[in-house]
Amino acid sequence: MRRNALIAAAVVAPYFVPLGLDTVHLRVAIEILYFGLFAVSFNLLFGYTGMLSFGYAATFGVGGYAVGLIWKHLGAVPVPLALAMGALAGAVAGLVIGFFCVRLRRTYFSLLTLAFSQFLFAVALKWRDVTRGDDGLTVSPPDLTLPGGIVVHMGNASHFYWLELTVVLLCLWLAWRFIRTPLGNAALLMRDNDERAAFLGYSVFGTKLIVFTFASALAAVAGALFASFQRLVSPSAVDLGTSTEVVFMALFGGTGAFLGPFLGTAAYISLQNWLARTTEHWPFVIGLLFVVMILFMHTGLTGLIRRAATLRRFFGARRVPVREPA
Amino acid sequence: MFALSVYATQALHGMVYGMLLFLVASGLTLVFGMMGILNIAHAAFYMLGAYLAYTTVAVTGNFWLSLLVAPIVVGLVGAGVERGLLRRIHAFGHAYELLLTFGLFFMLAEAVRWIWGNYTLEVPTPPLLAGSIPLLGSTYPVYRLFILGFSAAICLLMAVVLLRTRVGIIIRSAVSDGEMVSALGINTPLVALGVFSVGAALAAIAGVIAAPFLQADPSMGAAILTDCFVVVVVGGFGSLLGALLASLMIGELQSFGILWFPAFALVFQFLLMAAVLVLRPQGLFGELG
Repeated sequence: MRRNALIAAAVVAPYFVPLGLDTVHLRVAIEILYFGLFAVSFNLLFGYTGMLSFGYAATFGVGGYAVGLIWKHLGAVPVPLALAMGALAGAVAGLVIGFFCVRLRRTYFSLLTLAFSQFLFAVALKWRDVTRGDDGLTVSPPDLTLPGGIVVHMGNASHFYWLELTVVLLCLWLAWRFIRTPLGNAALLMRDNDERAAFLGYSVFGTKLIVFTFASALAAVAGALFASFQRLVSPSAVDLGTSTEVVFMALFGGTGAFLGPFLGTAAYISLQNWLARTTEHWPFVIGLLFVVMILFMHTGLTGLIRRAATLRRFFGARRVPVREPA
Repeated sequence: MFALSVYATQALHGMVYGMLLFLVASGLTLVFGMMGILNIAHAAFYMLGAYLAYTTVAVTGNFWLSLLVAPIVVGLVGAGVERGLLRRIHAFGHAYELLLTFGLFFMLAEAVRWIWGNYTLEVPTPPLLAGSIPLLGSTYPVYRLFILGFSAAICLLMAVVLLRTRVGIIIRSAVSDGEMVSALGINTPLVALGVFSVGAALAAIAGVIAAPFLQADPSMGAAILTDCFVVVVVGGFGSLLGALLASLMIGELQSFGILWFPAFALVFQFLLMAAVLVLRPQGLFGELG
């Protein structure tokens, strides 16, 4: 009962965020939402299935370019439908890339995902007729009229935030359901020992491919939201920098908890915004922090929180339920 | 279409870059073979070498001195990284080792921007090697020929060390079965430390000799990083001969790719890498670990 009330509060409370924020901070919140979804979907691969992708921006970019092209060529397709089509495009891209990548393990997997993302980057850069190359593709999402005549103006940051929040919550819920399925459990087993999983009769290839495809679809939704908000998608959405950032964000938060990467994204983007104002050499600080973090707290922020909770319990404070590491 | 000399020149260009790439990638592939770590920071070691060459030349005016300074400094940095950082997190698994070197690359790349500034620095060609000579029906810069000869000499030296000395046998056996070697009473962590440092020093040497040719540029690390990955994958993790062949292939592929299909020059090597990973994941000369 109490847990349900907490969940309800956690779902409803973010809707009030735009009321208390100025535009600058609201834009940051919007960024956190789509990058957060991106990082959570990355963690379905890394934290839950043990696949470290170095080219995860590939499907993010596919989502962005998909909605951009849909609105350019098909006219005013309603945003939810366009996002669904973006997700479908991401799933197809994920299926194809995954088909080649998930057979490989460890570093080989990381490198092949990198190769695919570099390939897509080159396509985005050079296929100017379709992607407009360096200039980037303008993305113009049409306003959405809800039943009852309420209009969601895509150019209005608060409206965009509300729409985005709804989409992200829906995707997070789907991802949460996904990892609780028997297939999600099998993925965990494969992260820890895929030889044993194979001996137990699981199809390692099939399971990993499904996880890869599903995660790619979510990443494409994140990319589509990103493109819709920026109103532009350029090759930089597919580049190594974007692939790098998602790794940092997920790791900062901790890959052992479902919402860890989301927390990490919030921390990373806030930190980055603050650092970028403080020093022009903020990448150095981020890199240093990342190295220190891997050395001393490789379970990330959520690992730290968990440890604190365990300590509190140890010292006889109020008993805090600690969930087993995923 | 093109005169024969154009092809010859282009092939030479490809070889020059290929040999440079080999100097960087050889350390990377040996370290991977021994320790199972793909050291992303390796590309930053290369860049560091180029910048140290710039500073050495700026301070002393002597290019040749930098061939001594850069590998020593960078080799020490490498030793520190292996000893102080990588070994501590070995127990967390390969993903975290990969991620650590990733973070280090990020840090070093930005440190270079911080120290030397975010722009290209010109390193003058040593006067001894300036100018061009007639070759294959056209003229060719002497310095590029020097790169070719110098890298080939180092390559030969490496081959002699690895194939003809006791240290070489230990390294080769550690690459193929580290546990067995350590069971025979050889201090493999020390060997790993040595290989890591020497690999870093080699990357720095490559950076030094690349400096007058490509100039010291803050993006040169990222530029060679992806090429190195391709070399290591195509040649086979841990295989030096594979790395040599793959480096030359990448060099020629880029050289002729730019000549014939300028729009797709970026893609060829990744297609090659993807094809190798899909058809022969162990690489041309590697063994699947």
